[in-house]
Amino acid sequence: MLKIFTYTLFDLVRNRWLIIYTIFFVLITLGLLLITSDLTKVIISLSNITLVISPLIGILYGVMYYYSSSEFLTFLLAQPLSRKSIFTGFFAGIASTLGLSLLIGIGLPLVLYGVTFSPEFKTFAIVLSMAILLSVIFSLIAFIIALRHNDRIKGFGIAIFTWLFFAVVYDGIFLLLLLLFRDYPLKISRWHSRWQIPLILLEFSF
Amino acid sequence: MINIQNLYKSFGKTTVLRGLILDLNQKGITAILGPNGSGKTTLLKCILGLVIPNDGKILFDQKPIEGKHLYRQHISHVAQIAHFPENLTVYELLQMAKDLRPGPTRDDHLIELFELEKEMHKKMRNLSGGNRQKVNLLLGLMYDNPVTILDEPSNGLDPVSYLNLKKFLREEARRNKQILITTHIMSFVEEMADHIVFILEGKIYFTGSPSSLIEMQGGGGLEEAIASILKPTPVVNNA
Repeated sequence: MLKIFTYTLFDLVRNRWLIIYTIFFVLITLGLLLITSDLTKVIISLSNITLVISPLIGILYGVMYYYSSSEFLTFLLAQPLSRKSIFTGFFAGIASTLGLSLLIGIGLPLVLYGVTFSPEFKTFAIVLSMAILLSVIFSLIAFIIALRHNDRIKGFGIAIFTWLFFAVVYDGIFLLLLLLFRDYPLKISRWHSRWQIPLILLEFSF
Repeated sequence: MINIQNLYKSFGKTTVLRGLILDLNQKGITAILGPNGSGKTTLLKCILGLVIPNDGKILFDQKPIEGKHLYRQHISHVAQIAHFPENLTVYELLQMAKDLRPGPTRDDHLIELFELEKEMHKKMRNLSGGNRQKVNLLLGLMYDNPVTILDEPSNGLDPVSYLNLKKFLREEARRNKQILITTHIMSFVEEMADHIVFILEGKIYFTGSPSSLIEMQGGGGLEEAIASILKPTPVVNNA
C-alpha cells in the first residue's frame, strides 16, 4: 500500500493541474490578505471560496485521475498485490496531494503575511483543516463514483450533480428548513444535546 | 495448469461468457481466437482475477483463484492498452514495477531487444504509441514466469520490434513456458501458435492445433478456416 501511495504521490505532485490549483489558492489568499487588513473578512471570504472550490476540485480531479489511470490500475491489479492495498494506496495518493495543494496554497501566504502570530491563526487553521477534510471526503466520493461507473461521461455527470447537491441543494434545503421552523422555539432535548456537535460539524463540512 | 470450469460472466444485459469449460495445460504458444466481443479478453481477465465471474470456477495449479492474489506471481501479463502514469519517466516506472514486485528480472535484455535505451529518461506522456507498447511489453515480460498472458501484443509495434517479439516468444515456448495470446493477426497465429482455442459466443468452439482446425474446415489457410466458421450458414429455402 505504502509503495503505491508513494508512486501515486510522486506522479501527482508533478501534475500541472495540481500546480495550477496550488497557485490559484496562493494568489487568492495573497490577494485577500493584500486587499483588506481585516483578517475576519479574509477568513469569511476564504472559507466561502474553499467550501465551493475544494469539493468541486476534489470530486472532479478524483474522477478524472481515476479514469485516466484505469489501465495503470489494471496493470497493478495483474500483479501479485491485494486489491485492498492497491485501492487504498491509490486513494491515499490522490487525497494527500489535494490536501498538500491546499496546505501550500493557503498556508504559504498566511506564513508569508505573518498570520501565524496573530490571534486569528486558530480560525485560519480551522478553515484550512475543513478545506483539506472536504477534499479527502470528495475525492473518496469521486473514487466510489468512478469505480461504479465505467462510462466516463456518466461518471463525470454524476460527480458534478453530487457536488451541486452538497454545495447548493443541501444548503438550500437546510435554509428552507430553518425558515419553515423559525416560529418554533428552540428546545434542547436530550437527543439534541447528544447529536448537536456532530450535526453542526456535518453542516460545516458541507 | 489452468482449469476453467463452467464460467459465466455478464456485463449488465450482455452475457459474454456462457458456461465456458477449458483446460489450459499445454506448454508452448496457445492462441485464443474469436470474433470481436466473443469473450477472449474477458476470459483472460477472469484468469488474472481482474474480472470476477458470475458463476463457475478457475483453478490455477489445482487451487481456486477466487479472492487470492499470490498465484499471480507465477503469471506475466501484457495488457491490450498501455497507459501508465504520464509524469513518470520510463526508468522510474520500471523501478516502481520492480519495487512493487521484487524478484529477478530480465529488463536489461528486453530494453536492448526493444531498443528502449534512448527512451528510458523520457516521461511517459512524451512517448509515441509504439514506444508505449514497447514499455508495456518490457513491464509485462520482464519476469521469468511459467505462464505469460498477452492481449494483442503487436499493437503499434514497428516491424523490427514485431520480429524481435516473435523471436522472444518462440524462445520462451522452447523453454517450456505456457504462453496465452489473443490476436487478430492470422499470419502471426499460423507462424507462432502450437495450439488454438477458438471462442464463439462465450463458449469454446474448437481446441487443437492450427492444422487440425484447417483440416476440420476443409483445407485452405488458417484465415479461410476462421472465416468459414464465422460465415453465416445460408438459409435453405424449400419453397
